Amino acid sequence: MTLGNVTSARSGGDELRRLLHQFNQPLTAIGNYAQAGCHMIDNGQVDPARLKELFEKIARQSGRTIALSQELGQALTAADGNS
Amino acid sequence: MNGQSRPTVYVIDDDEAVLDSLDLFLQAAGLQTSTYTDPRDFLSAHHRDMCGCLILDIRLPAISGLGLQEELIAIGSTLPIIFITGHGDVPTAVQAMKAGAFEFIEKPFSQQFLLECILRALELDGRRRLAMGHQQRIRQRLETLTPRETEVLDHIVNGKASKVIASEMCLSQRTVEIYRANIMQKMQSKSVAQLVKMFSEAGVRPSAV
Repeated sequence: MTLGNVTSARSGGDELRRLLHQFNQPLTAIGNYAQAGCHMIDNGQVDPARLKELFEKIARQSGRTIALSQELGQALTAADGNS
Repeated sequence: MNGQSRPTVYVIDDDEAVLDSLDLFLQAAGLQTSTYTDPRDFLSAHHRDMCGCLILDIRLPAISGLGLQEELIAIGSTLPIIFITGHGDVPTAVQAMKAGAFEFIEKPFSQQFLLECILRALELDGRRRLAMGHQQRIRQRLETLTPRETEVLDHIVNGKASKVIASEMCLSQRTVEIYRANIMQKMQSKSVAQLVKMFSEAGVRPSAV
């Protein structure tokens, strides 16, 4: 392994760590929104408009993870190219 | 301090979706919340009567979570802090816990676990504030005592009998008895046992006030 490979492997690791951190944000938000919905239903606060708003927010955060997943795929392809 | 304000879960996170979702989740769970994306806004809003707990993202842009913890300690905040981190950062967790953090949770977390932590933190804060209120009441009563009465009180809570106190303070036993009666009235205590209990529970020393 050359010095260039070591450097790119390290920066690849950093990139993956950054992506993992980014990934956890929408994942956390999705869990929070879903649990908020469950609590609302448990408490009898079944307002369709509010629940719809929650589902839309969940969908938006899911979209965020999809975009990140694509970025992750690219980072992995780049890492394969460097090895 | 006086328990009049409702306990609030203060949340600081720079990710708007995380912040918004936590806000909705905690409110749906029946908690009062107050959210901030910028830790500096929380610092300027902070006052010592804030009761509840603080959920703090360790990675914040303006001030780090640890930096904010330090500043809050410096200004006398006693709010229990639950730190949230993106990935396993053991040295930071150790540092935060050593500085008195209540809990350290990794993202993504189980909402049930977070809720349990928050409820424990709120309970701790409530207990602390109750003790602080109790301490303040005792301090206020102590301030009504004369220096001589304070001295006698110090002897009383150290378990000394009136006769011993009289001899040590070069007073007649009758005078000590009068002081004792005044102290009991001012401290709103019916017995020496109650007086001693009052001080040990509040962790206050009569002569230290």
